[in-house]
Amino acid sequence: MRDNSFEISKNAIQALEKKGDEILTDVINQSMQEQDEIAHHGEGVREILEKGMIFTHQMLLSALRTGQSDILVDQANWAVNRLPHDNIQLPNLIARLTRYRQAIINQLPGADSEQITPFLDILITSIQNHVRTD
Amino acid sequence: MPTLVTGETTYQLNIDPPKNNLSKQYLTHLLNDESLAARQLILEAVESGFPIKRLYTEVFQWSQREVGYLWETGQINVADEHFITATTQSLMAQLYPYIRPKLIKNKKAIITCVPSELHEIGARMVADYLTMDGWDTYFLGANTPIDSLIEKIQTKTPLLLGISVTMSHHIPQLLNLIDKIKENARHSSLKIIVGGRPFIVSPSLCKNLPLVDACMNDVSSLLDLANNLVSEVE
Repeated sequence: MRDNSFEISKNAIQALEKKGDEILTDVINQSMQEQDEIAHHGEGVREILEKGMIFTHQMLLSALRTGQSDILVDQANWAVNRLPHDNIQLPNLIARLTRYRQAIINQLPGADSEQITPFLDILITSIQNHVRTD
Repeated sequence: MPTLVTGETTYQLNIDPPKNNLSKQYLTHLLNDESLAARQLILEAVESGFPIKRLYTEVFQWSQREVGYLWETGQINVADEHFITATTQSLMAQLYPYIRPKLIKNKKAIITCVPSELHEIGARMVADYLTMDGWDTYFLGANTPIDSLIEKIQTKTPLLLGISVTMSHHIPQLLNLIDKIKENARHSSLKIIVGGRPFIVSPSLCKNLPLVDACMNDVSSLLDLANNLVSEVE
């Protein structure tokens, strides 16, 4: 059986949970500055960004708490299929996930963020691979 | 990629329909908004002796998974998905009188969805499957609050607790729920089975859930798992 398990410390997960709101606010505020990315969403843009980032954050915590990356690959496939129908383009999604990754690096101690970013890299790379093959 | 053609619309499916005369016809009726025809198809099949368990796995489970895929890929909208799911749920309720276990087992189970989870049809299938097998089953539905679930476990003292998770981002709620049950309501003979999409996409997920006795990725594997885990109470 294929096993995509990762070891991750409880400290790293707790640090991410504790700083979650600040990290998400940071990413949303940065994304709100990118008019090329968000203008087409109209007045509801902040709510769209919040929903998307909260969902992403919960997905990451699910993967971290179980040490499993497969569910992120599945989520990447889902995002590639679904989000263009919700008016969210994949390059914009990748840009937000990249900001999220950087915010985690900026706001968590290195020992914690180093354990977390490999999971996000799997998510981002999976989506990038779909974009390249389209 | 398999397709399903209804009138002028061709749907791209994810998985081929099972090899029977029902599955594809059922989904075709529902995609055409033909609820009555879909019901009639299923009820006539049951009257003709089509086994209910096969109906659950080959028709309902397959069509619900395809409906999820059709929505995911933008081929149907949320209203279509809700219409099809509601039709299937009401049909399952309509079929309840046909569920006649050959023998009643002295085994009690509670089946529920994890808090926040709104997709309950998989859990309902699990509950009905156990009922068909003679279990005394309590189905609690979607988004069950932890405190009331714990109370139910304490009063009913089931031998089996089945927890359904459809959305992977609800896994933290699953882990919290299991911890709470362990702290408050886990008697020594209670076994826990979890199931749903995360366990389909991540076969090794189960080994990182130490308080869970078994994980299930298909309702057809349920009875073997459940009956192996739980001995009948004398």
